[in-house]
Amino acid sequence: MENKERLGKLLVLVLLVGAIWMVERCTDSEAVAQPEESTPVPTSADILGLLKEETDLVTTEVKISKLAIYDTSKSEHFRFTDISTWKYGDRKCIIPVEITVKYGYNLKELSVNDVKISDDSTSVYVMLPKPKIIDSGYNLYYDRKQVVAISTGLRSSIGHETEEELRKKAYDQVIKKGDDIKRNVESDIEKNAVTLVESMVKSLGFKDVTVVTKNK
Amino acid sequence: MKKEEQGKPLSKAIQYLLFGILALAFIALAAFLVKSCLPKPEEVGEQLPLEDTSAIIESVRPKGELYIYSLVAEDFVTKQETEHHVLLFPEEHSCVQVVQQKISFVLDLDKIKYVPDSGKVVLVQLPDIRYVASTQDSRFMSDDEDYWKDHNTDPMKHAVENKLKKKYDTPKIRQQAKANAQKTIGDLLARFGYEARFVSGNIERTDGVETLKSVK
Repeated sequence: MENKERLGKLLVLVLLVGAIWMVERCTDSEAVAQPEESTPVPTSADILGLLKEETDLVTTEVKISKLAIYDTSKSEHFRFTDISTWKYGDRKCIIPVEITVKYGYNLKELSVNDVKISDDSTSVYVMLPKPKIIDSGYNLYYDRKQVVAISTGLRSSIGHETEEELRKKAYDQVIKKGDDIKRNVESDIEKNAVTLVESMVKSLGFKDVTVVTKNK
Repeated sequence: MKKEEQGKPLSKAIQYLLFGILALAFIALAAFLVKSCLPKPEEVGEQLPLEDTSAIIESVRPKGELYIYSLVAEDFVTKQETEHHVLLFPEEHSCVQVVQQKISFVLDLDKIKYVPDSGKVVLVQLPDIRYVASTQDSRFMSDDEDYWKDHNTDPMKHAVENKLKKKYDTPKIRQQAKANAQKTIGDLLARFGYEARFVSGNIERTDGVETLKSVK
């Protein structure tokens, strides 16, 4: 009789634990439920930057490659007071990122004094403003065979989420150091701008064209 | 009496089994609670510190493009899948692919045709305006990074790109871009003392001289 009572109590306990587990699962799945392959109502798909009328002349396109390297064994060190460092294992990832930067000039910055025409309308002098980044971006698609992703111990594995975050960080790093890259390609930007503007102006009938940039 | 003696070890065995199940359930529940309460190292502090690698300039190319209109936009698509476990409930998984792009309308300068008309008037024929999108950010969010890591996200990225193109590459925006292009080219030619007259139709060469076939 006593045994039957104990068994009954145990069964109730097991059922209780099972019920808690089920409730936990249901609330989790409710939180993430989304329509399959849906194209949701674009409420958040708004224009982030203002619609902008541009007058930018692109003269040079620079392709840059960068390796996004993430290695927790180098960046994370155990500290008793910091719970985030209480971990077992490491995460490492290497992803190549292709970045395109287009340099050029904002034609609105071209003032009246920057264009001088001779009295006989045969020669012209043009002074271009300082070059700047007109457009930039990184490759949306990438070959996952080129990605190295390792996670050891209890660390969560590296998937698309982390990879995309690393790619964006690598892109931001390059754009942040935009001046360094510009210094390396400055002569090309200037040379291309001179060639482009010269051919444009010559097609209007000017014979003698001088183009300089404000860098000098 | 014999039946009672035979039944006792059996009920004992069931009792031990239930105790075992109960103990395991409690351990699993405790582990789940601890795991969900403790933050993962990658969720705390500075996330994903990148190593400082150098950016390599792969190519520098001359370009002749006029950026006449731009905006920054973002959109997303979601996907849901069901994972079937052996002897367990099926598990729902969801993910979201977000893409942010700078959308621009561009004119190729080498495709613009200038035909001198009377005096200081130049007939200008503009080429078709190009839609250009450069990726500024690509985020992937999911309920389980490990589950989605072997999935190909390219179709989702294509879907977002198409959504953005469909939304912003409209005749109305193209018309606005064209109007801005005409204003920019007109202003530029005015700097050199010319009046631009925009035409559409064919410009053909007859006897070495470019003439306008049809003007709208």
